[in-house]
Amino acid sequence: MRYLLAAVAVMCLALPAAAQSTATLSGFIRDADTGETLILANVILAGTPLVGTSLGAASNTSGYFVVSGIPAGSYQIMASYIGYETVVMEITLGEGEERRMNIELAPIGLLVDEVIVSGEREGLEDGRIGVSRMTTATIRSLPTILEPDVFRSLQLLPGVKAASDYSSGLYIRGGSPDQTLILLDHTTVYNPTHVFGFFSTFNPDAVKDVRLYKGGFPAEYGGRIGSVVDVYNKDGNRNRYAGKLSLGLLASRAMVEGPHKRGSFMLAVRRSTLEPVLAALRNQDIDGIPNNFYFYDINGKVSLDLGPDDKVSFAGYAGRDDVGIEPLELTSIDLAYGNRTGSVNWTHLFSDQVFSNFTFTASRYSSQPDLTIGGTRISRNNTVNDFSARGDLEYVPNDRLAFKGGFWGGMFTMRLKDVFDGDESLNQRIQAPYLSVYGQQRYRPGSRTEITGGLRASWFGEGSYLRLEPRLSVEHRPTADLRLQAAYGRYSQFLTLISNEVFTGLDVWLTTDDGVPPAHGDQFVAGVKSSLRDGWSLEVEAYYRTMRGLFQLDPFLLDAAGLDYSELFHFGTGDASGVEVLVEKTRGGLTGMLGYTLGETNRTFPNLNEGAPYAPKYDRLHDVNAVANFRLGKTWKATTAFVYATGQAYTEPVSYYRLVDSPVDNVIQTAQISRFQGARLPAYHRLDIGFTKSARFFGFADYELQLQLLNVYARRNIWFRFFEFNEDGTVEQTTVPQIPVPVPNIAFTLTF
Amino acid sequence: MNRILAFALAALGISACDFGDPGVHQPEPVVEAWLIAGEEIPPVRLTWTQSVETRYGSVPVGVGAATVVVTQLASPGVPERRFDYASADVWSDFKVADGIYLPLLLSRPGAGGPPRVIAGATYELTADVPGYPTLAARTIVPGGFEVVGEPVREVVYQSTEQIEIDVSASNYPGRDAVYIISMESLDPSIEALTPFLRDAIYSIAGDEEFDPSTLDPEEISDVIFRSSPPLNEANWQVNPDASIRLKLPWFFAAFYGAQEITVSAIDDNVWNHFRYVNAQEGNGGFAPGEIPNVEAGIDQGHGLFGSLTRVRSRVVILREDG
Repeated sequence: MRYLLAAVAVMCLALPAAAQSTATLSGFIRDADTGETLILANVILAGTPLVGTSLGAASNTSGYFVVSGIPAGSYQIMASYIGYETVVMEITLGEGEERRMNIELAPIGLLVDEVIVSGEREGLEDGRIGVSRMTTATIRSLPTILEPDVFRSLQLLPGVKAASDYSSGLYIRGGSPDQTLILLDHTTVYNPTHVFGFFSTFNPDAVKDVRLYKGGFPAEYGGRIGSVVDVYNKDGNRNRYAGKLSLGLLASRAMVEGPHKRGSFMLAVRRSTLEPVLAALRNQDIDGIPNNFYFYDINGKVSLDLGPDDKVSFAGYAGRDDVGIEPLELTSIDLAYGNRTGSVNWTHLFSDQVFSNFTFTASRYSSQPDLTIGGTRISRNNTVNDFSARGDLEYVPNDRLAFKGGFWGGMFTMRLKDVFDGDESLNQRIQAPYLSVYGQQRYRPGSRTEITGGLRASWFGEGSYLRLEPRLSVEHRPTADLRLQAAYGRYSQFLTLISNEVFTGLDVWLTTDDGVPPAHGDQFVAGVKSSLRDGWSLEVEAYYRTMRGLFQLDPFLLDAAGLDYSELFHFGTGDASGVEVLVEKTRGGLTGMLGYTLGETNRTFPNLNEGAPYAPKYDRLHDVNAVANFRLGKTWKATTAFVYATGQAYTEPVSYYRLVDSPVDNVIQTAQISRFQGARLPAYHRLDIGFTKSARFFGFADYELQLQLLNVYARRNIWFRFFEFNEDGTVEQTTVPQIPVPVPNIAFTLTF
Repeated sequence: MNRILAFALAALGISACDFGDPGVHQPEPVVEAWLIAGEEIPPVRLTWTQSVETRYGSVPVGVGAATVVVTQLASPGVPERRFDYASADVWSDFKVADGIYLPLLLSRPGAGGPPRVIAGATYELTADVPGYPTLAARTIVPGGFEVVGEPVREVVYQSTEQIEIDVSASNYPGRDAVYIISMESLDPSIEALTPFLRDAIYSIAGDEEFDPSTLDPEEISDVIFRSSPPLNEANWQVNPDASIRLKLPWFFAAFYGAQEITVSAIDDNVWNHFRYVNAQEGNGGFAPGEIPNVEAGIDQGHGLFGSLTRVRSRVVILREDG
């Protein structure tokens, strides 16, 4: 503790010495074409008089950058962002000058921008440890099942795994989906799925930036013990009116954006277009066709510039899935669920060096399954309402120091009401205030080293738990192209998700309470990142993380009626470790990435596997992902994605027995005996390919035609196996495949 | 260098082919006995676990030459009454292959009246199978209860008046009572199927004509006896006299006509057995392919030594149109 205090004192002493008589350069970095702010773009001052140093900064999530502590003199400013032309300009700064300078970067040409081209690999924040970025152009160009999907694209990154072809859930570095915080414009999204988990809920036309913090994330983020997906929607084109219309096999999308007197707006709508197909199938008297099935989502944002130092934006999202089916006499199933989020965001510059961001958020997730079985009605009303306020303050006194602090507090309310046959069988309401505060400091003791330390304190009202979460990351750059990084963090989580890999429409969030303490875990990450020649780059990260006090719904729970809240759970631990390697090529006619993960994940619960550790089904020893983009002439582009992974862990029964005398159900009961998760399915692999033609459409718009084929060579990957024990004594093994055949996809998009 | 590289690639290739270790089949003894309060001390069935590669019964499943004892305890560790068992093939038509063991008190001529299971009592079972550790299990028989008042004798299918039975609450140490409700049709036939089950079994909607003689009557055998999963006492309304009112949902009714309803309060072993089997069938919170073993309170073996206390009632389900 003494050493920690001494370090803080040293870091603070650096403050006044460096702040004297130096200049400050700040401003917003925008897309020259649309005026959209660019998140985590880089500004470097080359030719810095300080020998061996290069001053610089990265823009924050509002696109604002500050470079402080600049000695008076002339400089060459270099601003860069992946997919944009690097801007180089001359500037002269006087002593004590505070210069506000907005920078506009032009996107690289029509086709080239979709293959992740960066001018210079000088990223400051972009190469932060544990962070991956996925461009929306990449998301749209990847071959996909029916709809371009943010989460399915993220599943191609090293360390990120999918449970199956049918699930968009993110299993990151050994964590289950509920260990990942999903944010849309600073607002938590509690069920980010469409079609009951098949797709994620984010419309790629509306999304500006997707950033994945796989682990070791700084103190400004919290609430989950695993990772963070931070999604920002577009503010809207500030220069001209523009739009996009996409027709797909499953859904169609429309997006408009443009300037208004004091800012910009964006509205994106997506809706499923399957109803005519379903109607035709129903007319053919095919069993099991839903009476109704649809999903939609609407994203909107209005940004207002109140002045040079103030900007306000209003963002909203609404999405819903609904399916209705009447499979039998006196029987109907109606499943509806959806999310709504809204946020008001205010950014204010107290000075060029002090940036603030305040957000009021509202998030609602609701699920209302309503079943009638043989005349007996069973219904559920499940809602999560989360209203919060958060504020972040950044202060950059000089090039050596940067401070950031903030708070996030709100009220989380969960209601779960079950009605069975007219009687209320469950009525649970959890209303919990929560608050977290954090402070973090970045310190650069020299031009090549950066240390970021922070502390987050999180309090949750249900059970009144307070947890302290220290974070530390260190980066050293022995050369301009090489970064050595390490990070540690402690994380805690007050929520747990009751979900189903197959069907997310019934997801229920539960919280800590008396007797149900929060989960927590430590993460250790170390990595090397290197920019190589000709647009090649190499990243290697190793991680080890623990998961303590995991609380999950007891999977053997048959009936919750009358039980104490703590009796609903079983408690366990977990750990995960691995090495991720990512090779990227971002320039030339062939671009793409090759990722490899060597990983191991374990869970331990006293009531499973006789209390011994076991591999959850998302444990993979080897995981290889490859994405390649080829330019085929001026208007065609090909994209391929290949995935290879060690087979999933599963349970294969080796023995069984029968109970034949049951007086309560009069049937022969069979019980299986097996080593829990002891077996492995065959290795998973799949190749997808897509072709995109981009050109002008009758002179008034650009069009994009996508022709894609998934599972090109018809690999019959196995989803799971189950065993049926028949009354005649025979045992049948059934293999349920993942997508077993090549699946074509076609989409047409007009941009105007 | 090339050798090292080749070795590394070979090692990677081999390790990529991860087949796991599902284990191998080893025959282990399985016990089955259901103690029902007020009824005779039951037989005990001892069988072997089977390999999933083997059709059940294609090799002998019964365990022979075992020593089976059931003991009624006065208090923990203090025996009150001992029931020795012997293989049933000695006195009955059962074969060793069936693995049935009967209490000697029942089997020996002149041994007196058959002893009965006592509600609230604790019983222990031990079974010594040559070459295996001793199997042991214990059950506490749920407390006695009874039907209260006069149950409704007739109800009209899908009417607002449902099948309801008032019972005095059973009891169990350390928790509220858990019940399984069963309904057995006393006069099952295809013609008597309720519309929901007729559609579910034969895909014939309620307004469709059908000829029962063209349908396979065997199909209805699975729904003649229907049971609920274990249900906690807290699911039901408590009456002013502290009895509880059990209400049966309409989807439970498979046939029109007379039904026998059985309400069974179950012990921990039966409760555990059902919830684990339920999880094995994919109904719990497990992902597809995750199958936990059943843990129902048998030390050094598998199976069930369970107990229950039950009451019965009858009701007639009338058609909506009379």
